[in-house]
Amino acid sequence: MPPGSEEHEDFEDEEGEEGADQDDIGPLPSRSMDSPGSTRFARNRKSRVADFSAFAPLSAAQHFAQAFEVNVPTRDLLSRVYYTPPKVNVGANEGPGTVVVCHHGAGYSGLSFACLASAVKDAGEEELGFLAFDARGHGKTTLLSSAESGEPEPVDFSLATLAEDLVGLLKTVFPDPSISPTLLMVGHSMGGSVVVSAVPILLSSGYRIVGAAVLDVVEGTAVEALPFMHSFLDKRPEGFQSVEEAISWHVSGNTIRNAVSARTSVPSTLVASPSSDPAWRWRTPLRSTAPFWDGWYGGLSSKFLAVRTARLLILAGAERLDKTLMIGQMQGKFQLVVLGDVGHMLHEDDPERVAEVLVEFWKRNDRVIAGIKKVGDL
Amino acid sequence: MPSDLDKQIEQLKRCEPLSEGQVKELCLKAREILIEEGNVQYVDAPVTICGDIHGQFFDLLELFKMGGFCPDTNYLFMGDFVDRGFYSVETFLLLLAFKVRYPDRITLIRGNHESRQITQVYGFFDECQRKYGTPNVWRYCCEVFDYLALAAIVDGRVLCVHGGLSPNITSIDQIRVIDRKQEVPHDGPMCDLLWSDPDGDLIGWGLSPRGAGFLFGADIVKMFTHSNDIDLIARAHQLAMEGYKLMFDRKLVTVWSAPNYCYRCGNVASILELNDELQQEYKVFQHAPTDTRSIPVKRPAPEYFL
Repeated sequence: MPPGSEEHEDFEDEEGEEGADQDDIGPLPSRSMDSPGSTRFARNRKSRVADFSAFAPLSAAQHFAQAFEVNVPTRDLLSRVYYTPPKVNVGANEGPGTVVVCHHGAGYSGLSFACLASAVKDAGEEELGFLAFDARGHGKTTLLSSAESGEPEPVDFSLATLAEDLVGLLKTVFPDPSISPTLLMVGHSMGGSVVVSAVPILLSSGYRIVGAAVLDVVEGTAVEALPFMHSFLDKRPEGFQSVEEAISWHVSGNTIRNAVSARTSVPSTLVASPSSDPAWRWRTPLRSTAPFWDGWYGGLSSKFLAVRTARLLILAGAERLDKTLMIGQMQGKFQLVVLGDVGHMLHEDDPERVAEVLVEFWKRNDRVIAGIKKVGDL
Repeated sequence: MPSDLDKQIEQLKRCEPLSEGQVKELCLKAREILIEEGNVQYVDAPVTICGDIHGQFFDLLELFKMGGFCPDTNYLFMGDFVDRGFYSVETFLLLLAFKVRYPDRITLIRGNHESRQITQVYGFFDECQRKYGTPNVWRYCCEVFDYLALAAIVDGRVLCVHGGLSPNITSIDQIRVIDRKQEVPHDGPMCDLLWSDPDGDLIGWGLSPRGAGFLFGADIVKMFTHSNDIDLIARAHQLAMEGYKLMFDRKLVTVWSAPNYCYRCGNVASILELNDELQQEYKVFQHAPTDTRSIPVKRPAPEYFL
């Protein structure tokens, strides 16, 4: 019996409360809307007055039908979830439908997929549902024990923990695998690794998985880049004077090449700082995740090739496969799509094209053709 | 006295590219020859069958050193001449120059990489742009791709195709009626011939994990070879670490001709020699000695990856 049938009621409850949802789904604490960057203006050198009016936070409410918290006691989690249910067809196509489940990368949040959620809705003619959530230590997700004790959250970002968190969350939201929607699992960067680890567990628990899609992470290149991550992190500001400034930093530095998406996703990566300088700091202290980095990516390529479902890798900018994936690709083991004119945050940079690729992947692997077996069913 | 074309062949053998004007002329002549070929080109044994080359020009020279140069040896290349390696331009143009000079001694059929869409992702487009400063050479070559045969049949007994079979094709005659002069479509029989793979664990048909084409099992190959009265399906498309891979009671073989694929996969390559009696001899070869010209060292800058 999966845990959390009680929590499932929370989900039902919140579903009924339209108004509360609207409040909850918006940008992080309403303080973010206070006098945009007024202190910042005062501090700026007179010659370079920054105008952050173009970087005001946006609500994610239009991108998801619901936002709610899911209590997953087995994982000590109070998980923040953003959800749009699949449009359930009547008649011949009747069934629980398919939900795209997205795991964000380190330091981001479920709202990183907000624009993608809308794009998938359009590209998939509303047939696909969409679920994004904040992983532990990210966004609005908190640990039950820390909320109770007031102690700081212990740091455990190990791959096994994150994968079990994802499985635990899905088992709570969709307790009965026999009537659960089919899942299309998507993970970005670190989240790609989490998804690849979670899929075998979900399959052995009886969930139907139509495919696993990994966004812009390759073991070989990630492992090679890890030694440089500290200097990348050193180049990031420790915090910002306003949420608008943080959004502006992401957009003008090309970290996120889509202002609308950045305005929707960046607020949930920040928390108000106890000190006033900076007023906002990162929700997730990425340096503290360093001990887990090797574990995120070690063996990813061979694990990806071994998952018993359709496999899709979407890379940003250029094709850079490691040896394992190169051999795997040339033996026909997965689908590779390379998108141009996007950066590492490809699903934010160009949500429409990523949605198109995901919907096509879903249609190809979900359709039933007489006499043709699906990927993974032998 | 050597003709211009002979001079061009000598130039290409030294891995020196042709001028844009020469490429244009060569491609026009190639199209005139290819347009006369059927979708399933007839080839007489003896013939040497080769798989993917992928722009590995110096490894192609190794192949010729072992198998003999054209026209001394009759060749059949099963596609994927371009992309991934650093010398797709020289590789394809050399093969094309042989085709124009000795049309009856070399057969080129189309691989899934002989496509506008794929070459824009996997390197051939960028290479043309880099070497010529314009995409014109890429455009001329893509126009040739559209005219390449889809398959070949050796002495009526050995079917050669880049990828494999299609659930929409039960007889070789059905391949003959495809309108091939187009970009490789995303699905349908022409796409499947260039994209499908055999699968030793499968009975019947499966969706291909590649996102195009299908997987086919031993039963499908048995049925197809029986009903079309052929002995063997020779195909390429999949990296075989040992250079070739026989499957399904030797009714199907994968031939792979790009050693140390992409300069790092550590595989050997092979060619398949069919003699007058269609007896098969597989010749395995290694990659060219590492040469600073053959592997430009360019490490991409590390990127943010968390």
